[in-house]
Amino acid sequence: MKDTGSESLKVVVCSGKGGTGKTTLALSLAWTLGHAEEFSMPVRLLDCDVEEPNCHLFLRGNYAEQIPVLAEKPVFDMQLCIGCGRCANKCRYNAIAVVKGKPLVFNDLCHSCGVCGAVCPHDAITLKPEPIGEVLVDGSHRPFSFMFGRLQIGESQSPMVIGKMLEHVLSTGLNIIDGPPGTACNTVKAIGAADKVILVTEPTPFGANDLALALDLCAQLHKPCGIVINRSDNNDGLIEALAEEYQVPVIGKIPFKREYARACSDGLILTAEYPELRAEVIGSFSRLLSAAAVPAVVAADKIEHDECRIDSGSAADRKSDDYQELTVLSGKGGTGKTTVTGALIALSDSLVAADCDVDAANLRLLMNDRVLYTERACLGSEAVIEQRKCIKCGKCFEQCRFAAIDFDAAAGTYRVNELNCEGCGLCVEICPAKAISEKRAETGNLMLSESARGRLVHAKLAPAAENSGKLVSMVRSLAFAIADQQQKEWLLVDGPPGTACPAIASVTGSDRVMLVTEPTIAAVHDLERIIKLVRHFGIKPEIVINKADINPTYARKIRDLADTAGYRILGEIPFDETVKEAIKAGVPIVDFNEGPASQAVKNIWNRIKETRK
Amino acid sequence: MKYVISVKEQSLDARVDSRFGRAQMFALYDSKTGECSWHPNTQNFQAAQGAGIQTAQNVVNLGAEAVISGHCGPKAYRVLEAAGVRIYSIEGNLTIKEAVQMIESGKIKAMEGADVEGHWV
Repeated sequence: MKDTGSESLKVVVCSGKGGTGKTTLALSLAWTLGHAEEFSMPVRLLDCDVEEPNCHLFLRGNYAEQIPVLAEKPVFDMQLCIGCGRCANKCRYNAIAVVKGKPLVFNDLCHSCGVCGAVCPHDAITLKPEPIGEVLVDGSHRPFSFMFGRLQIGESQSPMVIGKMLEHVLSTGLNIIDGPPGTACNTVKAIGAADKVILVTEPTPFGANDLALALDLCAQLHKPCGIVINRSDNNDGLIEALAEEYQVPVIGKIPFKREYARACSDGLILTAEYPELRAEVIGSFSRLLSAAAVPAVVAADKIEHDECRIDSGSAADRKSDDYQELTVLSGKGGTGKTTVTGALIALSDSLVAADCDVDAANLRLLMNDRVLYTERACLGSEAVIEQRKCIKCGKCFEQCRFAAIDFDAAAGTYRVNELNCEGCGLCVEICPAKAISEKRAETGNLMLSESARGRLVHAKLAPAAENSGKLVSMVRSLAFAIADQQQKEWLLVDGPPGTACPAIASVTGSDRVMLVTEPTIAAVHDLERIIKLVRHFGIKPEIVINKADINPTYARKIRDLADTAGYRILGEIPFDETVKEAIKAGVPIVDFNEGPASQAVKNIWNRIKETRK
Repeated sequence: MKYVISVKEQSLDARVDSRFGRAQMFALYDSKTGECSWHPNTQNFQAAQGAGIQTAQNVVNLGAEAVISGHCGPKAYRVLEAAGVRIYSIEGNLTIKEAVQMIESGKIKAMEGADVEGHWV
């Protein structure tokens, strides 16, 4: 293997969505390169999936160093505050209220933008750092050093935790970064730091769908990529065609074997257990170095819009009691959530479906739908600098908390980096020349589809767009209205991964929450985190164990956990090879065959119906 | 007493909307004079976060002495409490007048804490 030549190399391992084997590959890569004699650089693994970190479950780490991640929150000096309410007025996050002259701060809503302090006419606000997460470091771990970040449950500022981690990359050596799933702000933060990106996918229509989203994002960020096909069965035409279209090489394949799945479920590193995979992993890495390419821009299915409508989603944001809303979540992708959801859609004859995974919506792949209606959703705002008025003082550049102002040294101009801009409005307030204003930013598209199975509401978040939680709320709003109008019995919501804004927006106010998990060390860990979130809303989750027989130890752990807390297990789905074939064919399992998995899902649906509230 | 009531439509026969922060509109009802005015809640309708906080602030600014709604989350509760506004939680399908009558005859007591766990963000 040739050496990289550079002192520090940052490789981000990503996928459009979780569950494709991102963590598996990142761990195998770190372990194998760490051991490889021909590779002389030190290796560090950074788990930047801070909403659901998993890598540490596979390692016996000794986290001697624990670095708190701090975010600035406003503190009021009541001697100076006159209760004018300017701060509350300017806060985009509704984190401050002023009633009867008294300010109230809600720290968990605060994004630490600093606009409150900047607009206070009496300097009554100071910003004080408060912990929102932590970074744990095991510098002496062998054969690679390791660190992971963890966002406190209930906090939303995951890019800040990722930013903290990126301060600790090796300045000499190879940094392997396990990135967050999806294509939202946290992923942009991680990929933004990359020299090269590995995109992990699987050879199914879902894998292809999510891979295309990730490729679009890398094209936009100008990052060279290579594709690794996980669970390959040497029938990977779908992915290979996509790779060719985007002109990005397929740099490796990990074959599909039940024993590999079993090893991962037990928390084992694949290449440590299976020497036959080491050459493939090293080969993939060499090909990444030699052949990675920035994806070509592929023309997307463009939809014409006249203007950006502000009051998007005129639908009612309330629910009637005529239908029941069932939200399906998993904490993280890859546990079979969409497979189960797709099957339930096929089984019900009175249902509206809502795909709230706005980062990587893919329910429609199972529904064979036709889009009836598209609306451009513009929910946030973005700063714009009017160059003619700009006096180039650099104040915006210095004070922006989101690194969203770029300085072009050659031209001497300041410009807004639209991918980083949160639209907090700080720069608008502090610009002495009043050269900065705000324009509405595109959040994505909201769509309504018709299919033989019923109507589907879904959305596509624009890459790195803010307000994914808001877009989720819009999807649900429209779905409420449709369920009402069509007098359906069920509203089935396919929820997003993670525990931050979009997950929160899909759970709040739901009637029932079903958690799809699998008996693996990582899934059980994620299950515990998502249960905390669901419980926060006063909802008792119901649980489905997918691939229940793949690992009896962890299956028992899930049953015990449910038992102790009094959560109902709706059913267990056995490992069934034909599920993969059904996914590949894009057909819900219950329509595909009468096998054991198909039967299990039918039983689950019957149990859900029996207990309709 | 000046009540602010979350409702689904602009009518004295309107039922109390169980949602506070994301209610469609509010009735400001003065039980002394019988006067009623209507105030849409559209401003927060699309808010991704903090709807209850903003709404509570607006309700206080309307001059409410008491709020009638279905459920009140902890954030909105904190705002209303700080402003000395009483909160009445109504179960079932009551109209504005029915709800006010029940409160004034002492059948419904003011809440002493948030009744739904709030949500982050």
